[in-house]
Amino acid sequence: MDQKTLPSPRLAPLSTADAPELKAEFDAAKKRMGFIPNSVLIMARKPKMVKAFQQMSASIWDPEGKVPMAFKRLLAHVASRSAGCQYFVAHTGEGAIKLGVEQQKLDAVWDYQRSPLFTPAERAALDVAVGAGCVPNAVTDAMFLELRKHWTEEQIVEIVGLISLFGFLNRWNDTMATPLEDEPAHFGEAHLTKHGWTIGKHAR
Amino acid sequence: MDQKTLPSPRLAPLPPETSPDLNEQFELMKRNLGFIPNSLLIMQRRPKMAKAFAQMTAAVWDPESKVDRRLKRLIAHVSSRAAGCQYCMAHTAGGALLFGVEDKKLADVWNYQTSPLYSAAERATLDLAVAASCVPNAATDEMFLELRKHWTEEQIVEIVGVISLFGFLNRWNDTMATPLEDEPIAVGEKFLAGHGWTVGKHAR
Repeated sequence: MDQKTLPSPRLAPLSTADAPELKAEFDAAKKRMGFIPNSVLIMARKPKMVKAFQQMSASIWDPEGKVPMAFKRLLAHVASRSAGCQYFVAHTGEGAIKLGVEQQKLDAVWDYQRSPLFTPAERAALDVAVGAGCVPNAVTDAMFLELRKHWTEEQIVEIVGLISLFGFLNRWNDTMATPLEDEPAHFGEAHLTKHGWTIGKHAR
Repeated sequence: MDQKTLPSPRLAPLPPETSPDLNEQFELMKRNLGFIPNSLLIMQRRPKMAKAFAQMTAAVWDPESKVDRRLKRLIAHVSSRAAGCQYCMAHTAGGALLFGVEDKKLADVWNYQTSPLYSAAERATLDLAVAASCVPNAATDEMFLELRKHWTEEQIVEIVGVISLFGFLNRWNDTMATPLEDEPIAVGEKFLAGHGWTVGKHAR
């Protein structure tokens, strides 16, 4: 972990008292995750943006979605790692476990093409997550042909919507160097360092 | 332009009549842009997502914004080029012109560090847009120190909000290979082709 001797010139998370109009959003985050993410507390300087962002996020994590929720966390995890965003690699890793993904499956996620824990449908979607997390974007027509064998067009929109939501979030948190909260930081240290994860610039 | 002999296996835009409950969003787009973007016509397979996405876009382009909307389009343009998304480059160039950026300022956007048409505040901002759109993210503490000389924290949230919105859009449109509409194709051919822009996989 980097030793911090000076406060970061990037933007600090505000306290919840600074944005009383976001109480409903803060409460919802606390209920869902157990804490209010610093990404939202940084964004709180523009309450309107927080509200719209929360709705966007809720529409993609829609409980009525046609793609299993736990698998969506794995997609977000892989897209974030492809883009190099350690903040969300930790968040989504922890989120996947909370939603019932087995530790063994999370550990095997970087071997998804060969691991027997992954189905052909999951492999096709994870290929798109890796390709879409790259710059320049590496998704191909062939990947879509494979995707179409396993998923409906509506599900493909849900999958690419999720990967794109993390296009927003990866840029936001890597640009802000958002300080990682205790829960995902502990999770990362316990479970992800063996796969090369470090907290880096997201240390408080 | 690539010759297309087979329809793309990616997702086609659906006609707007497919989702009567998105009428309001479509009308708004028509008023603002002159057309409904294919990105949204693809997304309408999940109407809830399309609605939330239109709201998110509106929050980021907020007319009460503390950052000039012309600069915001240039931020989006530079960000999309750094990420390699030709679809979004053409759209944002069109948007910049629509909001009153002069032709010669747009033509000089890749010389923003030396062009007399760009102020020190604009240079600091565009530096961040380029860095934040690279993978891995190349934004630095020094860039934030420079940014803070010119902008309030609220304005910085708006700036990073635009860059992050295009994190969503660059991933969405490059993954979907969204077909580019006639209006932005015309802008791309007139203003961007001289700088290496091509319609590429976004040809119909």
